[in-house]
Amino acid sequence: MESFFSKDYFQLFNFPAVYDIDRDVLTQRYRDMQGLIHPDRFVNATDKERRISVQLTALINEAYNVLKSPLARARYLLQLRGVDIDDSVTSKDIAFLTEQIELREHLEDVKHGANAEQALMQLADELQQRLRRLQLALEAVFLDDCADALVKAHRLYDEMQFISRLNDELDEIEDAFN
Amino acid sequence: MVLFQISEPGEMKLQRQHHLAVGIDLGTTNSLLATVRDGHAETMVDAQGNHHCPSVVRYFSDAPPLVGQAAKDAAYQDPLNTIASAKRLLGRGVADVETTANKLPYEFSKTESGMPSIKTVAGDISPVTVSADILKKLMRQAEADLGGELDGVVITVPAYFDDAQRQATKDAARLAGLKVLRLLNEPTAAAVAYGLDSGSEGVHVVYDFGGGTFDVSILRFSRGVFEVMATAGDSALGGDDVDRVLAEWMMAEAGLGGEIGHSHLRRVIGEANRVKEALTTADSVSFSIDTVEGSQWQDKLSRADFEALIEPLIKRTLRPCRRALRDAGLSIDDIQDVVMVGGSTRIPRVRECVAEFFERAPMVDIDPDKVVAVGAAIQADILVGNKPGDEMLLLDVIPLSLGLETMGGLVEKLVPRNTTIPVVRAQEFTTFKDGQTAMSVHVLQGERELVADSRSLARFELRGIPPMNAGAARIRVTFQVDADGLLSVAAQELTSGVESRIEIKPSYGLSDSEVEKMLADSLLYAEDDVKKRRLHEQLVDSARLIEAVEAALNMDADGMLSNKECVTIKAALISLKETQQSEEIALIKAAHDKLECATSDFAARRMDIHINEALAGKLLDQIID
Repeated sequence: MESFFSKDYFQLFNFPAVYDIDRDVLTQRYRDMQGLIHPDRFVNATDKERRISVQLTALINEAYNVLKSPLARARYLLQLRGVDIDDSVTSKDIAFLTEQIELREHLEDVKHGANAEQALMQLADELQQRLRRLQLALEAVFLDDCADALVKAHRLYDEMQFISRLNDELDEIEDAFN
Repeated sequence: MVLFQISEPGEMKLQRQHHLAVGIDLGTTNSLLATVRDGHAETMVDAQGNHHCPSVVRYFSDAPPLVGQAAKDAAYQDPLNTIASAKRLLGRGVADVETTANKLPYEFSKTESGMPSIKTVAGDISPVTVSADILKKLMRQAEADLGGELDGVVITVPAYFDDAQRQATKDAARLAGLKVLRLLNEPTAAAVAYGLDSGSEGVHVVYDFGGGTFDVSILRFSRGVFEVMATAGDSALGGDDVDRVLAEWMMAEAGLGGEIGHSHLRRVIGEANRVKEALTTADSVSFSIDTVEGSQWQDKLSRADFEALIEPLIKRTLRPCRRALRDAGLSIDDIQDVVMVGGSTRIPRVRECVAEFFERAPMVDIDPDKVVAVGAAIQADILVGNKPGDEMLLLDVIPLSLGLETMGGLVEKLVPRNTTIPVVRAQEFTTFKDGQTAMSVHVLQGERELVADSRSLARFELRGIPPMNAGAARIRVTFQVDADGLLSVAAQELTSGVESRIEIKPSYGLSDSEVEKMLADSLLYAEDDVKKRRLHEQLVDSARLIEAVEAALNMDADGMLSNKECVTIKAALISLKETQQSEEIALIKAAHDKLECATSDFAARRMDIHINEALAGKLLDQIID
């Protein structure tokens, strides 16, 4: 039988390696596994068993964190399919780069403009909707087996990463308002 | 193997032995003991009928230390040898203490290890020793009450304690001779006490404002699993600060400067504490303090004026509340209820501010001073094995980010705050000079970008890197945080395999050898024959291993072991059984280690296979559902 430590994150949770996974089922399986392997279940076990329990629980925690995050899951799946992701390389997609600059400028305008709080909330909504659309697009493209599917997926991942970061910045600005 | 023995009908013992376990709330001001009796968790009382043991120790030149109320009563007459609030110094460096110490009425001496010691007639006493003396007293009380040796304890710590403070707490338990089943975060313990009581599913906030620390945790409770979603706080903010602010105000009113004696200061702080407590119910309280000339200064304080005085302290607790909500990705509407923990939540204004902030009245059903100990007792009862089949599980987080120093005095974070523990994270670094053969690893904790602003946990060096061009070496640094929230770090050069591994011992904590020495020293005066105790512990450990290995062999030898492996394990087993008779600790330990080593692969294989089977069973259940 295959060891846990040689399985990929999808196999650990008994999911097929596709982007669309059921969050509720994931959480339920995560809890079931924790119930079996958590160090609290091995307090009186031998040293070796306790060590394995810590490492295995850490592995499950990591896998759960990756699978439950739409962004991290996309990245992991791309890597599983052999795509090398280097964050230090900026996209060569001119249209996307132009849009990034525009969105940043828009954020600055909103921040300093009149009615900033309301405008920020509206922008946050827009970003959320866009993340949702990106998620659906990724679901489709990861099921697609045409030749350039992975290139498309990578492009969607880059976009999602940018929007997520912008969203985080927005959260911080909103916090500063409170 | 404990887990699977239970499911093996033939292996079940007819009479399950009840294990003795307690929960200990080791507080800044008071400590409490609790245990589960007949399925019900309750705090334990001492011979005088008190639930609380003041966390105060008085030291003598010619007698063992006195712990608890008797020590507290002597605080005014013997202030320098009577140590209170030692928890505030636990795991702290001299530099931290210099800021806190001005506010504490003791004399400090600097030590070589960088850990502060308090000068007393019994010599220099570290905060770890003070905590160990409190724990020892509680241990004796528990053993007398329960009628036997304790099999294990759960000790609570503030969720916002950093690695150094947790490590110091564990060192204190080790000095006291306790087996720690788990260090449990105080708010999590409180949630357990409430959650199991009310059985309510949903998101709970625990607002824990104690004697010396403030914590806030947000937990989700669902189907027996408590999942901590975020925690935040201030490990140097508590009721002590309320007393101090009030005392400073009283001194200013009475025209007293900062230059008053230790004993005098203690009395003023004591009076401030009394006024604070009285204002919980009274609208105004009279007080009197001694002037320098020895006359009495008398005045009155209204609750409204008191509230204005301490408003800044209460405001300081709301900032972490906001941050915890953000980290959990929740808004106020998602919160089901707010649980109040810690003596400082008795202050009416604190309750009002919390109610305003969370937009609902906080829960105060369980005595806020007892709830943590009760939760710890419930967890201890489960961990020690008194409730097989109990599904309750706590998934806790690390409160502060962990990282490494990189170029330019910056911190690179490896484990962000609020990551579920246990966690293992690795990151690769490289050399920046040609022919570099050593690399310094500096481990830091905190949220700030700069090394100078972070807490330094440890420094160590990875040596013996083969000389290579700059950037060619690949050094992987691995952080592992266990279920107690304690960190260990390993560094390895991947091209050569050179490795360096350390258990993190805080820069100003006790080294293993220091703990050993303190243990040895304390043994000279201990009442028990400690050597006997150690032999006993080793025998119990080994007996457990023998039992586990025999059960494992019966169950899984066929199919999981080659003949050769089986022979090796059986030989090691017989050898350990024989040395068990010898009464020689070193011999038994050696045979014990040999058996552990021989069964190591077998244990790993069994865990893999059995967990896989159990999970397959769970999956099947879900399909049937």
